[in-house]
Amino acid sequence: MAREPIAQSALHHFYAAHGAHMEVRGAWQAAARFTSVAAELDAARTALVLGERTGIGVLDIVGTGLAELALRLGVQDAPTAAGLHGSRWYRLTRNQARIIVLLAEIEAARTTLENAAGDNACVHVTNVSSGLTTLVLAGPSSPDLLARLVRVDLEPHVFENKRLCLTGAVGIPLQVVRWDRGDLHAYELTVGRDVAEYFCDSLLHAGDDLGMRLMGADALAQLES
Amino acid sequence: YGIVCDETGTILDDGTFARLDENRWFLTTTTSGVEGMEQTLRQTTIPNANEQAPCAHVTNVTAALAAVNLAGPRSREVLSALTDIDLSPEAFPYLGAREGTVAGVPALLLRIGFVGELGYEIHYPAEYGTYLWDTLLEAGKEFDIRPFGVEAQRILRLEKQHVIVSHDTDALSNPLDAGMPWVVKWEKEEFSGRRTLLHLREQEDRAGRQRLVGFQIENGAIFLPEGSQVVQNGRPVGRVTSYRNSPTLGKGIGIAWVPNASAQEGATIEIALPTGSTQAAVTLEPFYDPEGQRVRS
Repeated sequence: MAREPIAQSALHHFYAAHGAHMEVRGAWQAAARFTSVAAELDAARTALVLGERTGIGVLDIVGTGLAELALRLGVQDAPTAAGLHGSRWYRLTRNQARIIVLLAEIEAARTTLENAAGDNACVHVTNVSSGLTTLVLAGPSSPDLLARLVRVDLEPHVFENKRLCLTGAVGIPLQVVRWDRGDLHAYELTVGRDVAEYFCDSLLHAGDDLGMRLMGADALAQLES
Repeated sequence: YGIVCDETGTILDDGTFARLDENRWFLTTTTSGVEGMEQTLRQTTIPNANEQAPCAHVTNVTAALAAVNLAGPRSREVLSALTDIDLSPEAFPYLGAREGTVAGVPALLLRIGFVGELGYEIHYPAEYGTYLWDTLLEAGKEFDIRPFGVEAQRILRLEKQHVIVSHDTDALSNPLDAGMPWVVKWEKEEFSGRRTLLHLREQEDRAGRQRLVGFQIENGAIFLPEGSQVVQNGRPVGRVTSYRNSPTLGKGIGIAWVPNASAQEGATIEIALPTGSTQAAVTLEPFYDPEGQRVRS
């Protein structure tokens, strides 16, 4: 009981097998770097990198009261809304939406959503973060690699920044969010935790000829900033 | 614990059903049955014509949770050092469910006894899977805790005659033939398969039907492949679905489909072997702790 719980990514052993230097970051044991931060950043600027966002949380919202909730929150059209703790709101279907938010803010976001919905609304919010793994694919070659795997038109003017689509790749369901880092093309790829290692391995193989590298948390943090 | 049937009374799956609060339920299914159960549950929320859709939603959180089974007479002692949940039998009885923390990790505890001993299923966020496993093993050192695999669990559940759906049952099995009439809540006004099961219950002539029963073979050294035929006068009349040698009982124990007439305590059945055959005695009660005192302790 003395030590704090340490969370592990679904890819923990995969990272270790690929030479990651593991460090505890917050509540997570993270792959801090695989080679050097400078080399990983260089790959991101010139070719292609793959990293993981362990701090991302996901709330699924379902129910016939969703339209009314969206109206109250002012998120009918925009992917983000004030007062939702920096989260991104994505309407998937008439009665289904997905909120992407930092794990540190997820309970606050959930409370805000439930309060906004009210007690009698047909709206259910479920935290599904633990079942998902979110990878970041970044670099000038990232659209090229993704185009090999998904049947989605990735033309920048079609699949615009901050857009989400649900698709499939290498036989598994895949959520793709285009979320550029500054002027750098980047996609957040979310898959089930149970198939994360298979998916990551598939990406590495598919991107081998594009100079793909794994990116650790340190380099990714610099990209984010 | 419960079983889900279709409209014909056929067993679709089994699992645990825990009511967490007024409007929130937690369901477990068999490993291979999760997607089928998810679809079944979703279909029940589709309204008929002119009906309003019920406000009920299903979220599959299988990949989000790790689960461990902490079982054995000392399990309460191991767990009590790690959790804020009152584990006393009065506060947390058999078949109860409690939410709390275990070693600082949010967890749902189910007090169920698949392996026939006092035990707790601990469901918790998957990212803490290794951490909590290691913590439990560390806390259990003084009680000589050991990891146990699926094979040991298979023997332990067999000693209790706990059925594994889709292994001991098939696409035609219903709870009555499977020897589980106790699981059907007849007092409920409506549930899927009720009419068919009521009809089956009222059938007096069950001569043409099979029953799932336990059986034992005194010579535990006999190797009996699962799927072996139960025979009468050299003709197949049933089949063995599960069989293991029980080190605890010192004999071979199993579960088999047999003709209804043979589903009597102590009845002798004949099971074909690759060479020859062997006799076994039908046992309708669990082989181990038939009163269930250990799981309720």
